[in-house]
Amino acid sequence: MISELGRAAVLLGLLACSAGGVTGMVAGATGRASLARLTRAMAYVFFVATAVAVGLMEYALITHDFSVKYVAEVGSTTTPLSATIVSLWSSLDGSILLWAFILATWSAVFAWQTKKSHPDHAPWALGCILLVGVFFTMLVSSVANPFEAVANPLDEGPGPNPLLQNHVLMIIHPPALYLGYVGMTVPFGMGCAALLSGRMPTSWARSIRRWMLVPWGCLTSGIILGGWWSYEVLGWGGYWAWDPVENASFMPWLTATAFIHSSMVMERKQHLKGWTLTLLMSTFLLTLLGTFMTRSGVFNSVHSFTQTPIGPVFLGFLGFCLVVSVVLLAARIDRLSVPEGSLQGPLSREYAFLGNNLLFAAFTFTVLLGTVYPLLNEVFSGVQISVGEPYFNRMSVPICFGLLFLMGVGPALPWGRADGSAVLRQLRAPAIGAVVVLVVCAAMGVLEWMALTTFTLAGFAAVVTVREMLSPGLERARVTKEPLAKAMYVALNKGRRRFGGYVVHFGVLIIAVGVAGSSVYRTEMEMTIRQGDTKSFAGYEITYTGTERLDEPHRWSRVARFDVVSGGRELGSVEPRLNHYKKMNQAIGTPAVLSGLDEDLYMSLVQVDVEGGLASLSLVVEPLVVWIWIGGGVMLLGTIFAAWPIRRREEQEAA
Amino acid sequence: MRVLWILVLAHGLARAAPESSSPDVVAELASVELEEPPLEDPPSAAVARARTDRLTTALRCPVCQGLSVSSSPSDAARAMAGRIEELVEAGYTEDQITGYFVDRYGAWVELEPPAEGWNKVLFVAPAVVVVLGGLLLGLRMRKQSAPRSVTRPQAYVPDPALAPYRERILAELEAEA
Amino acid sequence: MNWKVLGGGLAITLPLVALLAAGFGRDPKLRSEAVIGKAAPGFDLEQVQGGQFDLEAYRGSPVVVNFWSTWCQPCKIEHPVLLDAARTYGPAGVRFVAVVYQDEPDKVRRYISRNGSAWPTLLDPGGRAAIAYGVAGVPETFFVDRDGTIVHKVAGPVSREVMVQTLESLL
Repeated sequence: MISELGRAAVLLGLLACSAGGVTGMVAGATGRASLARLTRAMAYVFFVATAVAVGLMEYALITHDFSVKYVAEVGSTTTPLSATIVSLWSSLDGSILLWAFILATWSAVFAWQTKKSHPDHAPWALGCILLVGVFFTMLVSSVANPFEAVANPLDEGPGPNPLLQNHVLMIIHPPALYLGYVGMTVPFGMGCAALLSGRMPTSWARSIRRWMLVPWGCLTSGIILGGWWSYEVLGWGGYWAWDPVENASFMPWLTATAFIHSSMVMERKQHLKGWTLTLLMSTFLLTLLGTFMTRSGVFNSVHSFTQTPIGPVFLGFLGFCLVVSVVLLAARIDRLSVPEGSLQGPLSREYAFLGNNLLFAAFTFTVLLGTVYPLLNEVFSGVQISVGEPYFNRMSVPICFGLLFLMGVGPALPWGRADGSAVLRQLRAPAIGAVVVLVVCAAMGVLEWMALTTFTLAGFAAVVTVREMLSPGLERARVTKEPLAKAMYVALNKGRRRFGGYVVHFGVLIIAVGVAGSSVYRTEMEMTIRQGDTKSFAGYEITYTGTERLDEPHRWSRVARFDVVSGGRELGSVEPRLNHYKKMNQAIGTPAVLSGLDEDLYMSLVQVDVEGGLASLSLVVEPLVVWIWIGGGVMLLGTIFAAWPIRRREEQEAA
Repeated sequence: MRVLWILVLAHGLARAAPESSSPDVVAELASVELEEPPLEDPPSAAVARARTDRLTTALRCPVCQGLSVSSSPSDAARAMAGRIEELVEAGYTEDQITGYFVDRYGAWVELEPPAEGWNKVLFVAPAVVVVLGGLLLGLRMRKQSAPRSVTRPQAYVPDPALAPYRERILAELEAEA
Repeated sequence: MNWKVLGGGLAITLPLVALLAAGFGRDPKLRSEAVIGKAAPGFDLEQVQGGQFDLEAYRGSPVVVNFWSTWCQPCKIEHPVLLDAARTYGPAGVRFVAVVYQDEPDKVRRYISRNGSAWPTLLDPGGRAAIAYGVAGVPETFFVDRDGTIVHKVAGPVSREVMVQTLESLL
């Protein structure tokens, strides 16, 4: 029953997308409002259809309806409820259904928000988004059909991948990531609208930028949550391994960030339209590439779903979109471009943005090269090689230093040609800040060059960023003689994008500091402790107090308890554990993490000898790592602030 | 082949040796060593630690998905880490140990390919992209700041055909003054 | 139509798609075939049934070295194939030896008493032998000829056909 209903719902969605895609294109070309309305209606139908499909699938999962193929693949009566709900996205077919639903949500929101604005561009954009929806709904209804009926349903299933049941972050990380990933389709559609119509007015450009900020914020959060999840779950205290699928999520983030910056130049100076649009299209295309890499079975990754026939279909769609994008860009780029001569440099904000774009483009290129190079090498020489962490770390350090530097210098430069001495005056305070940081670090014994450079550059950029955040308010207070708080409030409210942007920058600086601290000054050790004994490591005293076995329906766990004392202060008792799932022969550990603002103590249980009364652990001390998650939160806050819709009256005032 | 002979010799020596050297120790040594002898003397603890750390981050765990030996909690990785530690303590150099693992597993056991042959592209291409991009930007800047040829305003040369009108205007102006 | 952008764009994107397409049909799993053609590393390990065993003892005969463990399903599937081969080719001079990979001795003894074995089963603490053979998972089976060179390796359970074919070529 559910199989048929579910598939019907998806087919309805497919129908809606097909119809809406066509009417959207025609509405854009002819300008007929009735067709535009019809397109919007199709978007709403798409949303309802996929919502029903997802609802049906969750129902099937929760009631353990093993006659539905997806439930037979990942369901189990012993899995706890929260893990069952989450298993919708734990495996391939379910995750594509989720993709379709999120795309439908975005398209419905877009339709709603644009029902009274941008009548000449919005229908084109919505049409494009729905055409992308055609691909995904077609996929879900045919090749990757999770609703397929199972011939002889069993009474029990294998349950979802144990690694995905271990932590609460698994509930948030994929949806956040998908919201971001899939959300990139909207600005892509808007870019296509500009290309198809042949016009890119400022109002549309501003709208694209706003519609890019929200998925960008989601993608940023999704990536950081993924890193946090890796850290808390995987047992080695790392948060980023340059795995092909991690790179797949990072590349669109890089081009999207480059887009956000170059679109500022596009808005102000009517310049770089072609390049900005290229970045926009690339972001979406990279999400398709990323999804292909995760699902095709061509790449070896921690995240890979198992090999399926879906690979060639995805590649076909990716190829199609690539060609269409290139043709569109080539056809319209001249019409949209403004004649040369208005970008002034080199000491100007425009050129700082160009430098930023160059570095982001190079970074994207490097990550792409490193990820596909093993494949390239194998195809041509038959030899398998690895391009892993050491390579990516080595290549990204100089680029990141360059970006940190630009974060400091860029905001200090004015738009248009600058006076050299004025710029130097602007840079005086930040330079002093940098020197102060340098001296403090050296005094504290932080002398390793990578950490020192990061902290100094971050200090430099921090002064600039804070100054830029506060200066509009301070200036307003000076001029209008209003009380400082009021002046600040008004200035911030009027310049939300600007202030939000600087908050995001500040978040990035915090993350840079956290990454530098935790990777450079990380220390680790393995120890075996006898029950009742205490051993010390890096200023911590660890006492092994006991062990017990915990039995749950879907797994049994060996828990070991340790008391931790640091500098005389009791930090409490921790319980790292080893979980044994029926499906896996190797135990999956749940590490115990004691977090502090200065450092984390990370403990992974390796082995417990119950009769001998011994426990083996691996301990890692990671300084400043918690600032990475905090910085991510700051970035999210800044994005929300920047993207928060301003009332129409304020918009007119600012215009 | 040679390994088998070394083992035979070791065993022979063990049996021929006096009571004090136990066969277990000799067998132990025999199984630690590789075909070739270590190039250096056993290093100090600090040096050994640093070498082991470098090697475990540079070599890939054979059963994991792209993780280094140091990052992987799996049993296979721990076994490999233990082996690396043994070899480092015996005095083998990083090149020797890396070479041994590449010999046994293949080129992919190194997480960063050596910069030989076509692999150089990996390391050079990103730099080339940055340089080319920078050059493009630089060229753009030069094009804009290069002074364009400005048409100089010509000195005003009065049209002789208009001379009578000029005379009349000047005369009228003088009459008004 | 800006031909430069069209040309440049297609020049970048089409080769990328072609490369990704070339990736199909190949297994992304890593192959460790580096030891094929090299001398089979010797080992002298403790037998799970007691006593020492040195691979040296089999010099001059074709040898099948099988790495396995009790927690590995495919190992259990190939076990009968190995038993049959030992029965059929043992008299012809082919020697069999099994090395346990990442497992507990008690579990191994229990498995052997229940399922039988016709060859020395060796314990490999520290995984030195496994590393020497470039083992990246179980089961893996190495075929060594009379001169002590590894001539073939199978990663995954050995099928009857492959076993027969390879052993015939070794004799």
